[in-house]
Amino acid sequence: MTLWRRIGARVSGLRVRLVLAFALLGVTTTVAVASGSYFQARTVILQQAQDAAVMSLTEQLTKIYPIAQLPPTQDDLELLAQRLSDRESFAVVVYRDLRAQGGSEAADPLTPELRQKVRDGRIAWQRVSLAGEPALLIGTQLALDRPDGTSRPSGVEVYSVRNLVPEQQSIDRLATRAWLTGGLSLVLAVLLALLSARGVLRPVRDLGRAARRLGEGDLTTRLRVRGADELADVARTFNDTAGTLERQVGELRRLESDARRFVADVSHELRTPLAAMTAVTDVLDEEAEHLPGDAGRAARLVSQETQNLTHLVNDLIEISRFDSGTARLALDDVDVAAAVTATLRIRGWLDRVRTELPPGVVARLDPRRLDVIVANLVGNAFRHGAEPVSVRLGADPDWVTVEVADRGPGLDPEVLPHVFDRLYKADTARTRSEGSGLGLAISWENARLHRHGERRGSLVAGNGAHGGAVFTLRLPRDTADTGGAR
Amino acid sequence: MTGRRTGRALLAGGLLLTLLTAGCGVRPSAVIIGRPPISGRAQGTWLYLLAQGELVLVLRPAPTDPSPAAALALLAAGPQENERDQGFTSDVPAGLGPVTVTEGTGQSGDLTVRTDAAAHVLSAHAVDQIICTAVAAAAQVSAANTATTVTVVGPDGARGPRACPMR
Amino acid sequence: MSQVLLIEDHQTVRDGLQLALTRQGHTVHAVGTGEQGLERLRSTPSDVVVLDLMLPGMDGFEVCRRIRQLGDLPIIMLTARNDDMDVVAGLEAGADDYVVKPVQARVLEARIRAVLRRTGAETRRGGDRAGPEQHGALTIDRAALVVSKDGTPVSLAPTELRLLLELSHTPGQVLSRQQLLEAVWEHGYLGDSRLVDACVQRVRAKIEADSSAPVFIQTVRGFGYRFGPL
Repeated sequence: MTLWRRIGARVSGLRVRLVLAFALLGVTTTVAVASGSYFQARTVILQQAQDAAVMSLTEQLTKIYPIAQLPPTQDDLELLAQRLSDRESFAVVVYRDLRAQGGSEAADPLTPELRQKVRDGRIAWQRVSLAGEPALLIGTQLALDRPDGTSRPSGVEVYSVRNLVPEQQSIDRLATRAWLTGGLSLVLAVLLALLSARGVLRPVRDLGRAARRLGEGDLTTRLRVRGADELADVARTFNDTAGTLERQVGELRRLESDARRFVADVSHELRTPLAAMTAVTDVLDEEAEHLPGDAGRAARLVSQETQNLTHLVNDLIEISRFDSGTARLALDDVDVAAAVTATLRIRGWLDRVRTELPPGVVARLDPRRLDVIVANLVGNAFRHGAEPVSVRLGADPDWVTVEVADRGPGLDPEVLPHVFDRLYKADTARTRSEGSGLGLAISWENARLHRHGERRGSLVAGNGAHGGAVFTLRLPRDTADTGGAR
Repeated sequence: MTGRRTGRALLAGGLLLTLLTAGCGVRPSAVIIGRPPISGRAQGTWLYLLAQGELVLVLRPAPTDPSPAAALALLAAGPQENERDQGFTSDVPAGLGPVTVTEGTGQSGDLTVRTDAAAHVLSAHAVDQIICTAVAAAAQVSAANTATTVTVVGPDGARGPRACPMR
Repeated sequence: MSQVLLIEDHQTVRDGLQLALTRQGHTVHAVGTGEQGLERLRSTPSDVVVLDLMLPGMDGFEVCRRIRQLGDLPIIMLTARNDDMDVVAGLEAGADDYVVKPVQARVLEARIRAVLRRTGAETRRGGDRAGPEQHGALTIDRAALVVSKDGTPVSLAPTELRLLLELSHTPGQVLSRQQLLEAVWEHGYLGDSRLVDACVQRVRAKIEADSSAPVFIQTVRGFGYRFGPL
């Protein structure tokens, strides 16, 4: 059963099944027709041979009448046997105990059942195999006419042994031709099957390919509708489905891009008033010292929140640049350890961070973006984790990795999948002043912007073996200059 | 299920193939029976002798068809040398003759064979020999004679009428 | 203290920057269009131009080019977006430095001072060295701040001159872009290396026989630039 099932699985392919069905049909038809005509032809050939043999024997025997003497002598029998033998046949003549055989030294070919029928008074014949060759035995008694129209058996039995090899040969030729016809029709059937399988399978294959392309996101995929059969119906349905899908996805994309463009536009519009406000925050800060009480606090508040707002708007604009695909890399050959040290030094974190920065790691990347990422990660670690915060640099020929870890409570498993979401706040009670909520999203986009061939930068969040959050930045060591492509 | 279907198909194909190979060529056959045997004219005197206890037809060359009486005389003379060589005998005693054969009246035209020898001492074989030979000779002489039964009459009585057992 | 020409079309931004820079001790003249700015430059000398790239009428790039044609006046671009194309185009048009709006007054002020140092203070720093140096066809007189090629003086903007002086100070030694940024532009953190690249291109265009096969300022791929070896 398992074998059948295995074979079944092997032959269940549509093409194989079609070919098998065609071949079976072809072979069956051919076999039926060929064997039918073969058997009929064989019967005809043998019948003719038999009829001819009986006719010729009858003709020859008629010539020996009238019979003048019974019982015959051995010489009579020999003579008769000789007369009846020729190239194709030889005769055996029997009278009671006497027996004469003409033309052949072969052993007695006569079968008892044949002799019985002949003795019973009928012409009888039988096909036998003589020394491996087919032969026809025809036997008859010689009867004597009575004046009243009846006849009496004389007791003389004449048998003609006729070689059927020529007939066998023509029958064999027939068989060969039948086999040949069968083989040819099998080949023809298989060819036809392959042809029709191609005809049937091509649309199916096209459909499969189109479905795969659709699955891979190419929503413009359409099939050519050929003919008006069921497959054409399927193709039409596929096209309708793909069309609907494309429209809906297009609509969704349009809505999404509208929303994004709106955010970008709003951010840009905010920029001009912010630019004016930012220009004077220093004035406010300086003057706040001299302003009495509430006025001074208000001035400081306005100054502080202006800076925060500026930060948020800058981040929004940065994000919208990633979304629109206009973000470009400014690549440089950077000593990564020095760059990371500079990032920490500028922000005054150098003394608070444990660094493990092997020198001599030079990578081709955008130093400004690296700075943004590292500053974000370390800043995050200080804000949400607990010290000590560590930064470790690693490198192999293809990749540079920067790992930022803290010893805080780590990331909640529920939060983990969302840490890089925009404006995602793990702690709902957290105040907005601690960050725009876009920092990690921007860092993630910045990492992904670095790519070299199949290698693409990544930023991964996780938890360390000893607790605490671990962010791992991984960048290709020689980013190619194709930034902007998302 | 596909497997079972395939199996069935294979089986059918195999059967067909077996049939094909089995039916190939010229196969030996049983005995086929045709029309009655070839028959032809016999020229001579029909006598019935015995061979291994049964009646056997013997033809003696003769220029003209002999009368029943002549045929019975030949029968009474016994087998010739060549016939004896092949084991032919006769139960008809040499002292049968001379006989007279008369045709009866009526449609059947039964024959009566009168002999001087005692009819009752004749063996059954001898009577059959006489009857068959007489009927054959009578038919030979006159095609109109379709006598089928013969009565053998001797001084001690009659045997028959009887028909020849040989058909 | 110094004459600053501010070209900015937005009234509030212009007022804010003018207010803040004036408080830092600069004399600020603010105008709303490029045309007004160029006109002002022709009549009254300035020490530095703060130029918004997004201007009605003649745009910032064109204004930048025109100013460059007039002389070696330092230019700091104000770009509303730090759109990379804008930055590159601005630097190619001849700007010395750029800041991204919104910008705090003290950041802009620091850049202004850095640019001004390149023209004024640096003149004297190299002045105590004796005599002009000869580098092949190039003559560099650090005291007179004159660079000439085959005896013909080469007109270099202050930043360009400063870059050439920095590189030629240690011939044959490779300086990274970051080193150059810190030394020439005084960017105390990871700055934009395109500033260096753009400036190098401009200097090459002026002193090299063939910019695509430079001999004076050579690129050392993966590290930075070096002067010579000749």
